[in-house]
Amino acid sequence: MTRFYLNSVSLAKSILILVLFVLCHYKSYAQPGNPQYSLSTSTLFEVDMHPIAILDIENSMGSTGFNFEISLPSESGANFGENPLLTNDDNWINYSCALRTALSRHISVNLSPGSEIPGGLELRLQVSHATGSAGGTPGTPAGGEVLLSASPQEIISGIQGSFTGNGPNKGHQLTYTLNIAENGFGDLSSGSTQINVIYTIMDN
Amino acid sequence: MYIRHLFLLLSLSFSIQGQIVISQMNTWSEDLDNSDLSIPDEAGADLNPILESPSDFNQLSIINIAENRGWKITVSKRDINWPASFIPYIQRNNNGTPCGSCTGLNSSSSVTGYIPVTNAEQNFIYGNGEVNNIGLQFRIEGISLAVDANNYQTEIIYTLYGD
Repeated sequence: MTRFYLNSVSLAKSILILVLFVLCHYKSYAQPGNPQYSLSTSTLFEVDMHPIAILDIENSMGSTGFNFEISLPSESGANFGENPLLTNDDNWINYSCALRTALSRHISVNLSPGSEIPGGLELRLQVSHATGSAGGTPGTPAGGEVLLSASPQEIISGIQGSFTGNGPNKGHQLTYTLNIAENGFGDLSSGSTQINVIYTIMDN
Repeated sequence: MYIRHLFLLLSLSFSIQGQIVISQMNTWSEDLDNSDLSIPDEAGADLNPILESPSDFNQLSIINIAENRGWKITVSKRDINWPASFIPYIQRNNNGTPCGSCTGLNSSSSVTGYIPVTNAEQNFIYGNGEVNNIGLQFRIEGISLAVDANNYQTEIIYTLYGD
């Protein structure tokens, strides 16, 4: 009698477990409006932006080069003229910049090796604020004119992720000024000289 | 012992077959450099503002579902490192392939064209029964140098519901 009772209990347990198992199988289908049975998968979108640092000089005249020609006075004893003798503002500096590790960048300017300003003269550069279709955080120009020399001098600072727009009349306008140096009149002489100006963008 | 063996045999025969949604592509990845400027390698240019995947870059399949059973897919995103100005989009390019006797994708109820993917779920695709290889295309708008260079990631999530 005792052994029969124990077998009946085991059988009841097995049937109960089986019934529960079948119910779980039925419930495994998503039910209408039953969000706890939602199932999901995914796709990872990844955009890896690399650092970018490029600049160039643009000019609407077709060439970034230009001539400074000093005219001789027509009257004996007359001065060559008042400073500034000559100016040129046809050139614009454009750049595209993306920072990844550096906090910001700057642009410096210097005369190329072998370029010398003729005696008695000086060449100065003034840079305007970014204009046109600039975006992001373009740099800030140095205040006032910079006397060009072989030593690099910072002319635009604090450039962050930005673009100036492409072409003349976009970015920063460059105004070159040719002056007679202080007490330089005695060093003036005739002739022609080619001068190359180098612009460099660098991480801070 | 006979009852226990019978129970185990019945258990094994009732293998649970839950519905599954499968995404063929786990990752869409794009590298950006000078060549991706709107005018490649041109100083002053911004990046192309739109990235777009090939037309059937990903395929979505809904399987192990009864042929007359309705379902829907929602779409949402979970940002890992993602600028707010980058907007991801998704669009369905075809109806996929239904099982032999399945109704398949319901194109009149499903979204057509690109939709922006947000943190909140949005209803995307409806159907009945199994459907394989529903073509998906991706897009990201708002790409610009105004955003710092970095590795950006967001996860696009497809969720299957019974309908």
